[in-house]
Amino acid sequence: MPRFLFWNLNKKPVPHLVKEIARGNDVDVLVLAECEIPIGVMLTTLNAETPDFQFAPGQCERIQVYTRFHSAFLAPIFESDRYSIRRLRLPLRDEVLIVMAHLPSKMHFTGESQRTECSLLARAVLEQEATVGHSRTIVLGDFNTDPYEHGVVATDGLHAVMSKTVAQRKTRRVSGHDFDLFYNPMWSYFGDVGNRPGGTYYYEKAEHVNYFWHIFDQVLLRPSLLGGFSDDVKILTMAGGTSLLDRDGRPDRENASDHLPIMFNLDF
Amino acid sequence: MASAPDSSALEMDLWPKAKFETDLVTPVSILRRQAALLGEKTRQLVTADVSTDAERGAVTHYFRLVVPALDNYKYELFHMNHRVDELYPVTTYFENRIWKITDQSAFIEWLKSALSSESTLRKVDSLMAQAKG
Repeated sequence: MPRFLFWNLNKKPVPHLVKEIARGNDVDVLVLAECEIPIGVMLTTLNAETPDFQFAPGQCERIQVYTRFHSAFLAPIFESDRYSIRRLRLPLRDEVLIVMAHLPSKMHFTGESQRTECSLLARAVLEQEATVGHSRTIVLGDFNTDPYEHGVVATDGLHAVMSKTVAQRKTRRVSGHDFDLFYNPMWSYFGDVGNRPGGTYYYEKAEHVNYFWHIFDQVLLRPSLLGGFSDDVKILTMAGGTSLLDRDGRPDRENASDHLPIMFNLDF
Repeated sequence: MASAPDSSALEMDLWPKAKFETDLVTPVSILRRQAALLGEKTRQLVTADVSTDAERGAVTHYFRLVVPALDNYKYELFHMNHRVDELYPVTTYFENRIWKITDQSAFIEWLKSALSSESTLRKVDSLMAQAKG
């Protein structure tokens, strides 16, 4: 069953950690955001033992993709400086559309502008689904927006819901218009029950309302893919023997990244 | 006392005397012209298209590079929007920056700098190389 991993590296030169995670977890499709590791260095590190990984090129400079599959199986069809939309065409499997995104940060964009970015991404997804003629679509990446914010939830945004049962309705009618649904499994990963991290990103500020942990790094699935979804997204805290958390249990922004990686399996 | 109905009212032209501008150049027509020019410059290896949608009182135009030889691969270089009832100001979004542009001459200057930016030229070059195979 193909395994996918997304990690925002926050421009940190940590190819050894990426390798530990990718090889240690048998990742098939490795998607990196804010990655400034030169492609040659990343490939040399990933393939130090055996030449398994290929770079899957694209024009979106915010996203880098490495894969154990032939890179031609992951050809981009539509990109911008924020996202890369690719067809994953594996032999003997149905084609899947993979949307990899890194949306603007709250430091640079207002909440309204972030919502607009989600709407633009959603529009691009719908357009490409129409182009390829199916909606077997995965969206993954760093949305810089939590699962409960309007950009992710609203009908004119990504329209992703916390309930698989609701998502399986496929569409929802509001004011006479039908809107396609995504399932967002990340809702189930808020809070530190079971000694897991409280999210994928930590932000603390002395203000009255503070959530501390956020889940900006998400995967969304169209209902047609739910049958092959293992229902088990992992927020990784280790890269081999190295912790990705600091002494306070927050993402180690000095030695790793300020984001934690997310990983999931999908059969299709 | 109310005046009697006058059938000559049907002959009146109540519009102002000022001439309506029929040769108005819209931001999207400027974009379309530049999109058409790209194909000529790259021998159609990389072309561009402009698509438009309108929602909630705003019109959004998307400027995309297209590579016919790569299954019509598209790269969205920038997008911009303005109110349905006003051509300016336009808000442009390019490379993680937002500009508010108030008139046509400023828009042309902005567009010139976006199309000749190092990253735009690098993308066009890269796509041309891939299109050639």
